Amino acid sequence: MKQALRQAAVLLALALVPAAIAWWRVPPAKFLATAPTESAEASDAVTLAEAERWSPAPLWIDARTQAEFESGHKPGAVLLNEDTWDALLPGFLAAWRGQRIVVYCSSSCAASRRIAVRLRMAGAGEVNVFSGGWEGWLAAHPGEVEK
Amino acid sequence: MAFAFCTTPLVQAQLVFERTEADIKAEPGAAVVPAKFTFKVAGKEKVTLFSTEADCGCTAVSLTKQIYEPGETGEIAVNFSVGDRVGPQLKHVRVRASDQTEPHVLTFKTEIPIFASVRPQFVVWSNKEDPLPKKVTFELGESSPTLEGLTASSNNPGMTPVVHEIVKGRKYEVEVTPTQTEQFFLATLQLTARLGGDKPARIVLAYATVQPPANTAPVPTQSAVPPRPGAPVQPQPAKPVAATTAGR
Repeated sequence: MKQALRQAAVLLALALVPAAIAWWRVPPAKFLATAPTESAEASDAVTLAEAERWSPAPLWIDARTQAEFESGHKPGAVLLNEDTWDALLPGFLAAWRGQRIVVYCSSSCAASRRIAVRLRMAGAGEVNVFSGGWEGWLAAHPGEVEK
Repeated sequence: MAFAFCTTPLVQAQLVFERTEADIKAEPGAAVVPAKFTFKVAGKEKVTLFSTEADCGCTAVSLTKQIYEPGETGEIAVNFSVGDRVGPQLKHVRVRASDQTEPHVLTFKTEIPIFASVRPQFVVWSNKEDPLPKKVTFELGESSPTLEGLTASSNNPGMTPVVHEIVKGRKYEVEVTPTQTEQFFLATLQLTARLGGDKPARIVLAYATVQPPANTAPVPTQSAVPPRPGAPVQPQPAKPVAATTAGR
């Protein structure tokens, strides 16, 4: 029995060597120094806990596609994306009272950053990016979804 | 067997792309910017393309088929929908295939030409703020031809825009003054750029709004939402243009 276990351990160790080499050569994306997606810059990134402490509450902007927004979004969030920026901007203006703005998209997308930049250029005041994205919201508030 | 299984990732990639990065020049006014990534199966085994994933809903990826024999060439078509985007665009497409564990990453770059910038794109009066005039500045992009003129109209009679030319044919200020600031209203300002000759006019949108009191619910905007820009304008047919930094 002991011998069988020893042989199994040796086989496992042998198998791990090339696997480790493969990992070293092509590490999973999250370990890459330059991930292929943009991330929020520290200067305007905000955590969910920070945003939820603000008073008055910020206006949340959902920068995903209309289809993604319609399948579920943060309650009270307003859709604003670059697919149809001009058509959606009036909806944002009707909801905005001059408070801080927090933009999110999927955690792996760069749209929130682009929308934040564009909102600032358009005349909005303080605009932040929630880097946790839609997935981060869902993880913190499971089931709190508006459709 | 375990050894053989774990060494699989070490096998050299069999799917060889002619290029993994495409820098495409966008034609002014183009709704879609296409790119093609050609590949060849360089190994001795057939390769199955399992899936493709783009990091934006604006990037459509299509394959002609999924299984490729050794030596066979294929193509992945990427179509980037411009929408109301402007400026530099960088998108990635991840292709999962049977030849390696990690996806092949294809990079798509383009720059949507900026026709004109409108800054700010919206002017806002808070509730009961003094109804003083505010301005938006329209300025042509460097590569845009000089205008014959710029006109502005509003879809709301409570806000009449007045255009002042700052730099002949290139830079304008549009001044708007609300008649009141006690009730919410939203005006869409249609800025029509006349290019002269037989070139179609270009339309850029800006907005002016009076905010309701801070503690009121969001205002339905159904009646205030403008139709998508692009409806014909007099005297020349209009070409829809995204605003803020209006592109294309």
